[in-house]
Amino acid sequence: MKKQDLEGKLRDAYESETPELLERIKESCAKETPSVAAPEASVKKERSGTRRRALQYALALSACVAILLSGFLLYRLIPTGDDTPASPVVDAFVYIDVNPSVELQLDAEGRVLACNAGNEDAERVLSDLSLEGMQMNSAIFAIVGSMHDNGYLTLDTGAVLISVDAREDAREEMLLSAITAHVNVALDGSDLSCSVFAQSVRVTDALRQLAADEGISVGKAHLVEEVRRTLGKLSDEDVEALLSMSIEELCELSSTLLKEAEAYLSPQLVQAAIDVFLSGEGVLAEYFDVSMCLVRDEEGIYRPVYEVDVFLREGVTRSYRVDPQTGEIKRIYTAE
Amino acid sequence: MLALWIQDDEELLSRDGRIEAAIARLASGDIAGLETLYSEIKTDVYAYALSKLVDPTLAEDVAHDTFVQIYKYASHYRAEGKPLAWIFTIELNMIRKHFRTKNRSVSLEDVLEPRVEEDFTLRVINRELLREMLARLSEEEREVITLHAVSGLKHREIAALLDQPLSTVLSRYNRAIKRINAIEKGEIL
Repeated sequence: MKKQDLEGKLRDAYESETPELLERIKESCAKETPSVAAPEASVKKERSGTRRRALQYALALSACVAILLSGFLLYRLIPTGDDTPASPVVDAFVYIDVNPSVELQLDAEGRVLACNAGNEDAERVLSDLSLEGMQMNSAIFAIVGSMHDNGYLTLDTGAVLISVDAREDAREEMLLSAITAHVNVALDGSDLSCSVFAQSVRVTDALRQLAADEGISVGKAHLVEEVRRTLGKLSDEDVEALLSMSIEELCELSSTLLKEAEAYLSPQLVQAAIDVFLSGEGVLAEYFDVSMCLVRDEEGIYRPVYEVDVFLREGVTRSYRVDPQTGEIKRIYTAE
Repeated sequence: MLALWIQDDEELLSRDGRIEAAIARLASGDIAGLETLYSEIKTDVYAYALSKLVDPTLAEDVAHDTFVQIYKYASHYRAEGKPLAWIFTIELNMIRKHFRTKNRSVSLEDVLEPRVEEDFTLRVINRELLREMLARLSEEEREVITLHAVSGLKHREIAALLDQPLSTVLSRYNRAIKRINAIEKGEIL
């Protein structure tokens, strides 16, 4: 349907829904006193006086803060004689995601300092386990075994995602290899075979907040952010699609992108290609909006494509899809 | 004869001109200006509130409050040919005030209760389209499509009113049109 027809329908619908409020408005206005706009000169004078008072308050406040800060620093410098030993330092965070999501905190010797469940399923997995103090490899075997016993790891499971955030890069790489190997051995021991994906993560407050807001694990949240960074601007619907993907779908999309993304055309090149295409049709564009979106192919696998909205003139837009590898252009929509 | 001639002259004004003339009458204390203004923009004001709030009862309250504010501050308006921008700015402030004081969440049941009518007239079909639009589009998409479709604001004017980049407004508008088309065709979004 033409855009004008759609807009006309909406306009008609709004018109017929608009209630009659005039009498109620008149009654309320009768109780109000209309405000009279103040002359410009007196407003300026009031502002300068206000500015001087604001400056005085700011200076007084700054002086108070300086005094308080000095006192605090002096207190911190004076030794207290407290002999309480420091808590063990977390050397690495490890996340294991299938659907249950488990977090392990390791010390520098690879011992488990703490083990946390990222969701209800993980609570069930960890309920019979006591992992604090255990070596990392034993903890991994115990977790994989419990996931299998509780029905979370089956022949239908497509992927396990391992995410590691360690204090040093070299240690992080070592842990990623070691944990992946241990998970594979544990899966073999249960006659299971599924893909094991491993990623380095930086667990920031923002990532934790995203995970908490969306009800997903930190590992999955990091993977979603990586995909978004690779693809660039995504629509809200596509971000929603990413967030609701299974670990397996997300891992496969991420792997595909890693292999293919380097060969993608840049958004600037895509825009230039559309511009040339339109010139060939004798059409001049005022504005382009290029974004990446995810579409399912015939096999149900998500693939990234560029979607380009072209603003020709007020009221006329066209949308095209462009293959990011081949540059093939397909018009998908016209609104006039 | 003179009164008729003045009335004809007003009718020759553009819509913006008629709205400004009504605001000027209101500012001078002529309550008839309020009635003229109301008949010109009642749908614009209500539609915008409904697009933001989705709940018809809340939209009525905001529309009412907006007109009262326009009445109070009519003398503050500077005639620059863009009265709708001034009016929607007032309305946006009323909507934000509403969000600060009331519970924001709206359930689908609050969105224009579906009517069961035997006679599927065009009015009913359009109403269903509006209901689906309010339920399925994001607040930002509803806002842009309503300002453009009902009030005729250009995309650049909408960008200025909402203090958003033109690119953002265009993206939201295009997405909204695509979604409404999909709703029209009965596709699942």
